[in-house]
Order: sequence, then C-alpha cells, then structure tokens
Amino acid sequence: MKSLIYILFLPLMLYACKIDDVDAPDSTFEGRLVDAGGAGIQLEQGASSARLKMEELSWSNTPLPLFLNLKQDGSFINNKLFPGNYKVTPVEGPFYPVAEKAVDIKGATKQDFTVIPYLNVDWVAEPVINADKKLSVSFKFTSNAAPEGLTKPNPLDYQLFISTNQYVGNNNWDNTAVGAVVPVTVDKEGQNITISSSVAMKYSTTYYVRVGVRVNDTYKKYNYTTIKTVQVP
Amino acid sequence: MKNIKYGLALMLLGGTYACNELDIPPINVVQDKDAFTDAGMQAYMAALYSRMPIEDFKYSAQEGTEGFDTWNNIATPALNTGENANRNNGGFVNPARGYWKSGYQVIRNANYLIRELPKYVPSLTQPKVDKWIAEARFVRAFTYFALVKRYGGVPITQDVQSLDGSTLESLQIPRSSEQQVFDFILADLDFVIAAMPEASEQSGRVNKNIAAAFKSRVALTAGSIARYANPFVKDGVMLCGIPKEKANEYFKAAFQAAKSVEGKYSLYMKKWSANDKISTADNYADLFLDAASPETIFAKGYSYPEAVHSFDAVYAPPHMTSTYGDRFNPTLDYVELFDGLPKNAKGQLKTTDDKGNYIVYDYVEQLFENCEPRLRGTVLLPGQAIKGVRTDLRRGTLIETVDPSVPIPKFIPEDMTSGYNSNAFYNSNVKQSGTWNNQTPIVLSNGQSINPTGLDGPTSANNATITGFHGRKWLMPNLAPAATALHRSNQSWIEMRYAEVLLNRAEAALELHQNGVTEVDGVALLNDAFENINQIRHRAGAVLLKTAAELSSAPPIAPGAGVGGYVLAPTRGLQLVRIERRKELAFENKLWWDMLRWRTADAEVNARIWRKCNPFLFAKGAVTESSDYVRGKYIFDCRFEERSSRFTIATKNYYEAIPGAELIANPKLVQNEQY
Repeated sequence: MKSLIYILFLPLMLYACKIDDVDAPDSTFEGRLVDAGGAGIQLEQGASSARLKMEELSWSNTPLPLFLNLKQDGSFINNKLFPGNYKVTPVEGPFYPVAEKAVDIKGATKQDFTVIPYLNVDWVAEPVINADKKLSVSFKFTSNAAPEGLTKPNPLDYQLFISTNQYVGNNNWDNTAVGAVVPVTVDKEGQNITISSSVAMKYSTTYYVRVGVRVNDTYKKYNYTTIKTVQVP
Repeated sequence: MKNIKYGLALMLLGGTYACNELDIPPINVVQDKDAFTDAGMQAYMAALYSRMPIEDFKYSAQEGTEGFDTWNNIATPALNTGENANRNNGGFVNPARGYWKSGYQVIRNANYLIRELPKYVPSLTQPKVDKWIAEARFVRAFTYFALVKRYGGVPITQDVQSLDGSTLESLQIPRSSEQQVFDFILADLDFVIAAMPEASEQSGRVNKNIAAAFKSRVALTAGSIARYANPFVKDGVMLCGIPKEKANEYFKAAFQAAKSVEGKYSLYMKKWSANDKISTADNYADLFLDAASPETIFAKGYSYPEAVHSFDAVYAPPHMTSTYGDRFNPTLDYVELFDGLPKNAKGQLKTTDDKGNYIVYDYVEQLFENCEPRLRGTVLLPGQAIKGVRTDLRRGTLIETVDPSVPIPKFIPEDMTSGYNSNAFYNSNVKQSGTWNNQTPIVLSNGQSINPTGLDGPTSANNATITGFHGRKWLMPNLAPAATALHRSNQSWIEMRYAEVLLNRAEAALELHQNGVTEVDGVALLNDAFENINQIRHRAGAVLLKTAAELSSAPPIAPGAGVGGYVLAPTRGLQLVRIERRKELAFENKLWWDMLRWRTADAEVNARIWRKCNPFLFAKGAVTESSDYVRGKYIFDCRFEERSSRFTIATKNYYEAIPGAELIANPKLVQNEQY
C-alpha cells in the first residue's frame, strides 16, 4: 500500500518549483493631508471621504492602483508595503484636486500632502443640550479661494452628525437623531448657523458630535469641524 | 499489489508513445455543416438570443452571471432611482457586476455566424443567409449597447479571434472612443433595418421594426451622452463622452427611427374607458401580460415549467405569496408624481388640513379614489383587489377611546426622521405590530378583534412594506397566493414597447427643438412632442397637456417647489418629458439608465431618504369585513421612510470599472476615471 502512495506522489515530485525569495513587504509609508497652515484635514475614518491612490511604478507603467485609507485627522500609515517607486495622489476628498507626487518608499518614509480644502468649518460655540433635551450646535463655514485654473464650487448642504463613539462622520452616525441634509447657499458663508437634533438625547450618555458642510463638486464629500463630546447627565 | 504496480507502470509508459494525428471530426460535437441547416439555425438562434443581455426578471444588481440569469432579483438598480425600495437594501445598490466576458462571448458567436454563414449559401440560399447575418448583427449591436452604456468606449472586434498562429499582443485590442462604439452599433442596426423583413421568423426574433425601435433607444442615449456627459480623454481617445456638437445628429437619428415605426405598433387600449377609471387602470396592468398586445415590440418569453422566473414570489405583497414577497415597495416620491391626488404647495401628498391636523377618511381607499388610472395599474393601493384577495395596508390602529371627530395633530413634523415613539400621544393611543403574520389582535368592546397592522404591512419593524405601498406592474393577477412560489412565474418580459418609442420620440424632438432644430423631414418637432406626450397621457388617464407651449424652455420647477420638482432637467419642457418617462416606464429596468444618460443621478439622489405613506385605522367604529379588509375611518401620515436610510449615487457610477482581470489580460485597456 505504502509503495502505491509513493507511486501516486511521483508525478508531484517531478514538477519543479521556483523558490519565492522576494522579501516580505516591510516598508512603512506615513504622513498627513494638511492645509496651507499645516493643520490636518478633517475626514472620515476609512475609505469613505478621501483616499490615497498609490501606483507602484517599479514593475509596470500601468499598474492596478492600491488605495490607502485615511484617519479622521487626515493622517495615514501603512507599514506593510513593498519598497519601490510609487506615484501617490490624494483623491476623492473635500479639497481641490492636487497633482500626484512621486515617492520612493524604502524603510520608513514620511510624506505630507498639502491640499486646499473647499471649506473650513469651525465651531462658534460649545454644543449644548437644550431644555427639551435636544442637542444644539452653532458653526460657521468659510470657503477657500480656488487655485489657478480651477473654479470654486458652490456650497451644497450641511448636516449634524451624532454618534456614541469617536469615529463620528457620514459613515458612522445615528441617522434617526437628525433630519435630512439642510441645503445651503453661498450667502450663508461666514454667518453663524445653528442646527439641532430632531430627537431628545438619551440620559447618561456621551455623544460625539461633528458638523459637515459640502460643496457641489464631483465627489460631494464633507468638510468637517473637529469632534466635540457632549455629556448628557 | 504487484499487479497494480505493473499496471501503473504500464499506464505511465503508455503516455510516452506517440500516436498518429487524429484528423476525423469528433462525432460528439455538432459540426458546422450540421448546424448550418434550417433546423440547426433555429437551435443556434435560440441559444444566441437566450444569451443576449436583456435586463429582465432575472437581472440582479447582486447575483447571477455578471448580473444576469438569476432567480434572486431582490436587488436591482430600481432601488437607486426612487422607483422601488425594499427592506433588504438600505443604501446605494451598485449594479456594476463586471458584465464584460459574457458580452464578448455573445459578440464572438455573432461574429462567427457573420463569417461562416456565407459559405453555406448553396445549401441555405442567399435570402436566408442575408436574413440570419442581419439577425446576428442585431444581437451584436444589442450586446455592444449593453457594454457601451456601462463602460463608455470598449474594444470593437468584428473578428473571431483565435490563438492559432497569432501573437498574444495582436489579440489585445485597445478601447475605441465612446462615439465609435455608438456609431458601430448604429451602423449594425441600419444594416438590420435594410436587410430584414417586417415580420419575424418566429415570435421573439428580430425584424426590421424591432431594430428601428431599438435604434431610437441607442441614438437617444448617444445624444444625451453628447449633450450632458463630461468627456474623459486619454491619449487622444475620448473613451467616455461624445463631442457636444454631435448631440443633435444623434437626437435626429433617434427621432427618425422612432417615427419610422409609427403605424406598426399601437398603445394597448383593449379595456380602456373614457369614464371608468378602474377599467383604464386594468387596461394598463393588462398590457404587460397580454401576449397579443399590439404595444409589445420585443419580448423575451418564459414557459412553465422548463423556463421560469420568480418575479411573483419575490415581488408579491407578503400575504399573497407562499414565500419571500414584499420586495416591491414603490416609494411615496414616485406615487406623488401622479395626477388626481390631493397635493400641498411642495407637490407632496396632502393628508393634513391647514392647521396641521390629519384629514379623516371614511374608508381606506378614499384617499386614492380619484387617482390617475395609471397609478392604480402600476401600484397596489390600500384595499385594492388582486389575486382573489385585497391589499391590507395599515401601520397601526388608534385605540377605541380615540374619537375620529377630535382633530389629531401630525405625529412628527414634515422633514423629520424621528420615530413615532418620540410622540407621547402616539405611544399611548396607537397599537402596532412588528410582524404581519403573527399579530396580537385588539379586541373591541363589541367583541370583534382587529389586527393592529395590515397583513401587507407596514409593520413597526419595517417589514412587509417600507413605503406603505406594494407594486402591481407585471404581477400575475390570477396566480393564487398559495401557488405563488419560486420558479413558478412565466410571464414574458417586454423589453421594448411602443410607449417607450413614443417617449423616445418626444424627448428627441424636444431636445432638438430647444437646441435650434424646429423641423425634421417636414415634421414640426414641438407639436410632435406635444402630441406624443398626450397620447401617452390619454391612455394613462392622466391630465393632458393643454398646449404645446407647456413644453417650454423656461427653468424647471425646483425640488420641493411643486409636483415632480425633484426630477431634474435643464428646462421645464424636458422636465415634463422626464416625469412622463418615469411614470410610464418605472419597474422596467429603464430609469436607472435614463438618470445616468441625463447625468442627473448624482444631484438627484444625494443623501436622499425615500418617502412613505402610513395609513392608521380608528378602532372606534371599525368593522372587519374579511380577513384582509377592515372597514373603518383612516388617517394617513406621510413621512420619511422609517429606517432613514440615505441613498447617494456618486459621480463615479456614471461608468462602471472595467473588471481587473480584463485589465491584466489586456494591458492596452485604460481604466475609467475615479477607479
């Protein structure tokens, strides 16, 4: 019986393989998307607002792109990359389109990308819980001038995002706690705007709150405020 | 043991011997000389037609072979357009299923016929060969259209590619421009129109008129792409988009093709009646089921039990099927497009009085009693009879102590997403159920018991229906609920009908009229569009356009400013045409492509929450007349769909991504933008 098994395995052994001796991917690429002042761009956690499109040019001129997700503060890191020459572009985000950068990734490589967000969205006051237990926030937005050759898109609408965890954003929020998106026009720019939740907030809960405003461009992604927490006693 | 060893050794040795070349054709594979006969061609054509990319009852956004040929049609692109909603899908359903390989297989088969058939002229005769070559070119054109509307420009091949003697590189074809692909399709169709007779060889097969009707669809799409799409140019080739100046040329071709089938088909009017709205509604529903309809242009047949689909089982209201059900929930947004309903200034269904209190209706059908017949032919409204039963729709029941004569303020203000449980009056006075088939009945003071929620929903757990409506279009009205099962439906899919051709013609005419062309072949375009829209409205029982001037170049009604304001268009006239198209062609897998070619999908469906209409019954005075009908007073609450699911169509969805495997197999292919 044993010899029968040997005979059956014989054809397998006749085949030759090449040993895969390519080093494991061990290079690290990290950095941030920042505005002109060096502050990180407020985004959603993951792939839903902006992404980094990475094309490795070491082996092909037309590679299938890799996409790297971003964190909420605009930072990114991938520590399992093959070393090589990459073409990296921040894409699909709430900022004016930017040119790609050629990056040689080897060992620990750091690279920041400066982008111009369409809008800056800022808190006017701390979020408050009203007497009817509804959550109310005030914010304002200002737009940034378009770089040469591009046109400034019009503001589209804004939304209040409420979540019970810190990853609040358009990909992680309680969509029954607020109404539909509120349309907004360019004349509201710079004015204080107030938006409230449509339901009473639950007792003894910490809420993470953020306001997003977006413009009518190709991607329609939100520019956000920073995240604030609200403690309902 | 030894014997086995020797045996194996012998077998291994056997493999090393060379044989004479085997040059006898295999007798278990049908040879061309046997297939290319009269009977053989019937079989060949049946196979070819069955693989055409017809988006029918077996088309899915989530299943099947590259999206085709599956029983599970729960998710379709209609979920993104505001036609349909269901409880399974709470966000954008991407219909991109990588339809590519199957398409090129069909194209290859068609090309093979085109190349080989002429060799059989002596046995088949010239006229037959010409006709069948034309048929193959129609199948090829139909398939290329499925590709071009998904990807823009794709590689064009008229060869039957083969690896023998050619290098791999010579087989890799780059993408043509989108315009070249459209022109290639239109050239094929022109050939078919010239070569085919007026009558089909068999039912379901193409003829001159079918090709002309299809041409109106293709050319209209090309015209819209030219006018509305942003071009994507790579290495000098406009892979996506068509130069703007070509738009009128294509619209003109669409108009002429649509006009050429005038008199060959007619709108279905068998039960139509000028004064009986129910009969006119039945007439509209029947047109999808009558095999002898003069409106049907091109249909795909089914037959029980060997070629079936599962539309009725999946799409019937829940208490009218033995399994699945309830995935056919037309949105309130869609219902509000129709005439004959009370509307407010925003163009929405008005169910409250000026003080914001609910209007009380004496029975559940009353709100929709005077609606446009086409609505009743498309949608199952509360209390409507079908399949020997009635649709039983209510969200909850107001307890007996609530008097219908005392005004009730609206539970939740308009445009709010909050649940009913945030309303104190609701919490203490409304009984509801989380399931439709396992309810705890309310017992009235007279001993009668009533289900708090209708047998067809909508339940408090967003089951049974999530919009307060069910659909009627395509449903077989005589298939009993118990017999409604998977793999049981056999109604034909009508891929093209005359109403679409009239709408194509009206849209092309108005696009031309509003862009500097007032007349084609002696036909005044504005008046032609006016008459064709009114033909559709007349059959539908809708309010007719009074004058052609209504199809104006004025700005459209803005979203929220009137009926159909959410249907985006460059002018009021085109908005009216587009609204008509939606009302007429919904649930036929056409509107998704319309919203793409108009390039309005991203602006129209953007964090959009579909609307819902919830009926509530007053227990006081209610009488149970049958297991699925309770006579009593009702109020209706219009609101956002209670899951608050938001739908967004991104601009990247105007084209699909070319499948990664194809990009690797053919390095000359360029990926579409944003992928």
